[in-house]
Amino acid sequence: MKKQTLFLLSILGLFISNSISYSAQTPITKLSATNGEIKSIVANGGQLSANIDVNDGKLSNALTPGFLIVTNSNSQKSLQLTATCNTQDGPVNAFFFPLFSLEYHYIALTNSNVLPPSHCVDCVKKFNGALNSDNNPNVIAYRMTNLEDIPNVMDVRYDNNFNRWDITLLKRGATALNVEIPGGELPLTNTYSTCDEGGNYQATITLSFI
Amino acid sequence: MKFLKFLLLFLFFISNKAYADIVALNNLLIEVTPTVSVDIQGNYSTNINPDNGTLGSNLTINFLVSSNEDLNNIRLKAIVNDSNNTSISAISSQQSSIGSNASCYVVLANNTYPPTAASIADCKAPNSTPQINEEAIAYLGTLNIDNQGTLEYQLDESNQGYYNCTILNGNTNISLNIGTTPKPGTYDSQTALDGDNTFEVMVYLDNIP
Repeated sequence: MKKQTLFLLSILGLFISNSISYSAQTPITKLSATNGEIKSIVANGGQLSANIDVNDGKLSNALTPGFLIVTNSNSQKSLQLTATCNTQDGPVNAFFFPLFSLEYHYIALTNSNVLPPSHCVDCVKKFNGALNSDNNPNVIAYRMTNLEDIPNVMDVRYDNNFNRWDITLLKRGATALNVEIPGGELPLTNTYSTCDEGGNYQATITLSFI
Repeated sequence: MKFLKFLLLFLFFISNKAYADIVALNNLLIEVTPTVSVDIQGNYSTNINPDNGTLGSNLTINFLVSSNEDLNNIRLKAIVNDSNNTSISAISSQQSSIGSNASCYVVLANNTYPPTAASIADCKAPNSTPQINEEAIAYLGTLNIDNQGTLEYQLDESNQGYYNCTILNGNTNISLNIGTTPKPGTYDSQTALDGDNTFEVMVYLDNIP
């Protein structure tokens, strides 16, 4: 009897092994596609030029260079905002944080038509706005509006060692960042004088992922 | 010797009327089971170009259904999980006709950061907006069935879309081919709201006897 049962089961087994049968549904198959990373920064308008009042060095309007940061990454991204101005010795860091200043940060602009030597920029930075106006011809420094944290968007910190802004981007998507050098304010003390020749005073601000 | 025993046993088996009843009973168990097998093949993975959302290659899946009888109401389903870990149909279609082929939109959802139900719904809507369908991308899918089978887009009691398949006996191929171009408004590299992760859709046949 047992053998007969085995025999019958073996016949049944043959029927079963001929095909894969599913009781209710097939296994779930995942179709997947992996997306690459988007990480870009583009200039995003803003006011990039102004006139300098020859009497007191005030800017006619604010300078407000803008950037658009785009990333689809869900992980935090680190960026650096740096600035350079040209000198006879090549570009040098234009951001600085004077010793006397408790709050404000500054940016040095140099005359692109009559480049100063780099020590003139150093003089502006080291001596808290220069001991006198004679030692920094063709360099003018202006206060810039501090960058501040934006909750859930970005954290910012000024690095005094490297004179740059370190930015941590907290979200994906498109994020605008604007820098402001206010208009109508006097330049940093002793950085504007008749020693500053006519010409275009410039600095280049760069935002980059690190 | 074993073979002889087996042969005797077999002869005894088929000649004994009392056992014949048992055999008939067991044969009945075999006959009532529809023989349905499904072989699944396809191209299951690819990459997405982050600049425009284009797939590196079509995603395809083919169900080869072998059945010894006609089958109705086999359901081709595609689902994704939303941010509440709820399964939602990933298929949408404006067509309700019955035929051997059909087209629809298929939503792929971020597997690491699942989209909201609203985001998936926007991908399935006639018009989509990148800002409100983050972490979900839709692509055009085409379905085909051979062996004189038919496909019909239907909604279940929960308003979830699926394809109802009618299959004649024999071998029937049911295929889904997901094209490479994203549905307009479901991917935008400037808004960048579809993460650098893996997007997926889960596909299967349901209601198989």
